[in-house]
Amino acid sequence: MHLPRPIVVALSAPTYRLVLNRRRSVAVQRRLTELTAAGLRPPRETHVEHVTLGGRPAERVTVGASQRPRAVLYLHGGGYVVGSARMYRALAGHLARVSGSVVYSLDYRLAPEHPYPAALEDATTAFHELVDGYGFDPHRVAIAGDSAGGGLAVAAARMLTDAGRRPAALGLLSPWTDPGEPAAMARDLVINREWGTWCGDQYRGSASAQDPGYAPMHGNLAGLPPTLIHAATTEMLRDQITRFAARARAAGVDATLVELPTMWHSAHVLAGLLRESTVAVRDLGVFLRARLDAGDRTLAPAG
Amino acid sequence: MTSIAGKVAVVTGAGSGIGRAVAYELARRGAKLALSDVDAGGLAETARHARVIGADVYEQPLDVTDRDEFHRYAESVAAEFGVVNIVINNAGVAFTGEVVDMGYEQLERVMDVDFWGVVHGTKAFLPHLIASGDGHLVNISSLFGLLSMPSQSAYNAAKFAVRGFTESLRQEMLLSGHPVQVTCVHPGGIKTAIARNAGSVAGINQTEFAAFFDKKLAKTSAESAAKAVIKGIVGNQPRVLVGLDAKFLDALVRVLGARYQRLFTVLATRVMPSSAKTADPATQDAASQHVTGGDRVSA
Repeated sequence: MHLPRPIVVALSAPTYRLVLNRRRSVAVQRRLTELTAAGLRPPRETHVEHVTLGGRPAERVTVGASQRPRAVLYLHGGGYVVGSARMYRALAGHLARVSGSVVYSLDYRLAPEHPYPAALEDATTAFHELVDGYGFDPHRVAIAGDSAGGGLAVAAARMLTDAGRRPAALGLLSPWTDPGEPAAMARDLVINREWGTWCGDQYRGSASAQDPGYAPMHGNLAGLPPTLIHAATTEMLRDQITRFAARARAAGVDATLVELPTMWHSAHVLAGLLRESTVAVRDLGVFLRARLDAGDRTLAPAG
Repeated sequence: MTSIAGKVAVVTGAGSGIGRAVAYELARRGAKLALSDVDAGGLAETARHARVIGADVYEQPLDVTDRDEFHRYAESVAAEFGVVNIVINNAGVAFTGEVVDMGYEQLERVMDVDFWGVVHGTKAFLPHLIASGDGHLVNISSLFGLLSMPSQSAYNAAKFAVRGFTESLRQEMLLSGHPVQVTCVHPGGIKTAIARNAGSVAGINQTEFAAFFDKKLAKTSAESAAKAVIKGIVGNQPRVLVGLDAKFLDALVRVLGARYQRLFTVLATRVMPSSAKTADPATQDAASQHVTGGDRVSA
């Protein structure tokens, strides 16, 4: 089921170079990224239901039992321009299995058609609906996301915390928390500076590059929930992610940074195909499960 | 099974106590590990440390009382490693309370984890152990699966049941010629969080009982218990007694027969803390007949 890492690298590098390329139209980029999902398989017994969440389409992903007391709102990556719940179904399935949660993978509105704060509004509205509409205890709902979805998760958690509805935990995979910052590296295996800058511009709209809703790196981080951060050691965003983790900890956040030497940017999307990705998603799932169960006194005993 | 190296081993309740110690010992001996616990935080810690030791680890939060979930888990472990050689059904909870005070739910809960959890693990993994061609099943009973103590009726019932179930299964495997060895383990007092995290009926001073357990009963470390478990696997022992207390009391009960009960009631009045012996009726309250403490432990 897992492919050898060198083969995955050999397939991924040219694919990303072809697809995440600002010289292609937005429509072509989106269509091509969707195609990359064709080789990905969620775990057995994954059940996907198409639902509406906060007025947006979403995939409700469970493995095994379809009703769970825990939920994870998943925000996909793709520079705020591409990506979809469909593309992240395998990751969502693996995450649902390990964390014993319902994973809601949200198709938030994308730029350039819908610049900031459209995605942020969709994410926070979705969280509120999980509590008010679907009946989840807010202490048992976490937010996770990768790349742009990771930055969006932080911005959403800020707004929700300020509204008195703090998520149980944050899971940030290669999070992009400062889209306005020019990267030091020209490219990594997945993304390149030119494409990143272009995406950041598409999403920013009329906001300032320092707007904390757009770039939570520049915002107040105090009071955010326990956070797990994954960074690949070779990725373009590594410095930014490391600085973000340090800022979060300085603000008193219980933040853990895990560096993954054999991974690359958002490689978690390959869960089920690449062993390292499956293991990394498991690490996230176990972390979220622990936080989602932390406030529960009626928990079934030892297992 | 003569060697642990390279074998795939499943350990439930691996987030603390004996389960954690067994996981580390298996990791040191080169096994690949599938670890689970209902306490994901404790599980994450065990998994991380086992990886540092050098083991290939597959960790999954799991509630052993959930039958469907356990069977699904068995399939995912088999898919992950391709084979399953060793299963150690270790997850369990302690409970203290007299029959007259105990609610049915409390008794059922202890049975659900301590007995049904073991049955689920056995049933879910047995086909994989048979298919492996070299399998070993270890079910963790207790010293209290060999003898009874006042206020331990629920725990005694579950642990006696584990022993009966396991010893029957061992004979079935021998008769059928399936390549699966079966061991029932009876730890005496082991230094784990089990007594401190145990449930009790209202009125029993659990802290005092835990202090009594830790000081007077728990003389064996979880590490030496883990070594005894693995010795039992390598030596294909039908029964493993862990700790001098277990060995001594097991012998005593066999010498005395059913008369041991009389001796224990006499001893109980002298050794055990007074408040742990009988629930004070003055503090009894039907509404407060609940399990106290977060009993997410293994024993």
